[in-house]
Amino acid sequence: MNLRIRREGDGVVARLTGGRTLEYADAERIKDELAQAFSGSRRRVVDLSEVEFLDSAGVGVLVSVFKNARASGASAAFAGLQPSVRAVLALIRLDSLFDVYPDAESALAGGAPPAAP
Amino acid sequence: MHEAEETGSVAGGIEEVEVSDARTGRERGQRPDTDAADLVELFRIHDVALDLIAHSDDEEALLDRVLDEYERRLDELPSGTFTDGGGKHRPEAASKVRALVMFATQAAALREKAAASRAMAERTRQLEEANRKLAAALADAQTARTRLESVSAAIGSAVIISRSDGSIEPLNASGRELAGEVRGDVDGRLPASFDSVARNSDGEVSCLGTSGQGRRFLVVRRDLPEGEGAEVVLATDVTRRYRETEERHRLEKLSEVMRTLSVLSHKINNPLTALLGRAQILASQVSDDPNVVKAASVIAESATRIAGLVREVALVAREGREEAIERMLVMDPPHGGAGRAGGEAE
Repeated sequence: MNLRIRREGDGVVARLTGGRTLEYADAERIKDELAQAFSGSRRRVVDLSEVEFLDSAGVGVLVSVFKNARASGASAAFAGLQPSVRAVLALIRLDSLFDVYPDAESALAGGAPPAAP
Repeated sequence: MHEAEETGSVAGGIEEVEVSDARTGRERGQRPDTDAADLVELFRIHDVALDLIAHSDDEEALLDRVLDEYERRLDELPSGTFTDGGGKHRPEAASKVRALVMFATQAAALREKAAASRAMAERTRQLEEANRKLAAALADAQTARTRLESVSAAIGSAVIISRSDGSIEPLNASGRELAGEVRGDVDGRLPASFDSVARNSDGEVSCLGTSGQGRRFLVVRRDLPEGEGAEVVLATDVTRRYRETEERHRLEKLSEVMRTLSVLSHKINNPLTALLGRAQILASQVSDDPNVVKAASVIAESATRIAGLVREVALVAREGREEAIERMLVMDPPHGGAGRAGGEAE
């Protein structure tokens, strides 16, 4: 799994591509690359539209993004969640902690995230 | 990850899992039973809860703490917990997942509370800023008021604020003196005579003090900008100057009268002398006609009496005895003065 980075103003969108599952094998590397990509940005968006499955390590990547953003005074948002990914986040109640948007554009624009369906 | 460890047999019990890391038992090839694992987890959660309570004044720190715990639980989860079986996790991971749920719920609540605290802090900051500005404005206003009072005190004139409802506020000692001295202020209002001066204009008015003495004021009325109908009234006591002016006018008039009398007596005296002389000649030349002699005598006596009056008037005019002149002449009383109460403007 790889990252595709897009910058807009002080915002950065990181799209996870090249694989369906964010799991232990890629987690540490993706975590580091995301930290590097998001460094200095105020608005951080993780586009998960190509991710179909998350294991606990994958969830850890998202939590890491959220924590790093908090530590930097930035905001983190998660966009394009597939139903299975959304189900995992709902299972462990991360959907109530994270700002989740239907797509990267609305996540980058900010504003109140829409209510979970 | 830990999948191989999860397949080990259950051997534990509460004594075996009293160590803080339940993974220790798994690393020995043993697997704690679910109840013991739940109990350990419960104690750990209890410790965390106590820690949270200890730091409950800092939601951000609490949130960081909860997220740290969350990450630890994620690390401890068996691999494939979320991916195997379409998202269904294994029973042995249930306690960890419950902890994740709990911490995520706490984290969400703390995040909301932290946002509310930040909003409150921002409102507090704005309020403090507003308070600082208000305090500065009040200090400026106090400075301006002190300066105004100093200036007002230095002004000899009475300075009074008159409001649209008729109430007044003296701004200096002269104003308070006026408010306490001049009749018409018994209900805290300006003397009625002041109304004869139109707003935004000047004029002189007379009124009576409480002692009954007439007083004269130069009144200046000016509307206050944004004063909602209020105006500032400057009243300068010109009683002394007014009386001096009145006296000067009276003396000038008296002097003119005296000058007229002097001229008049001189001009009367000459023909009167001629008249008296001719009457005496007439009496001596026609002494055989008693009627003529009597008529000449009456003329002479009358002329003599007139001459005496003229001399008396001339004497008074020279000496300036105004009382005598006033008795002799019909004159208007002195204009204005203390007895002229009531307050018409001039």
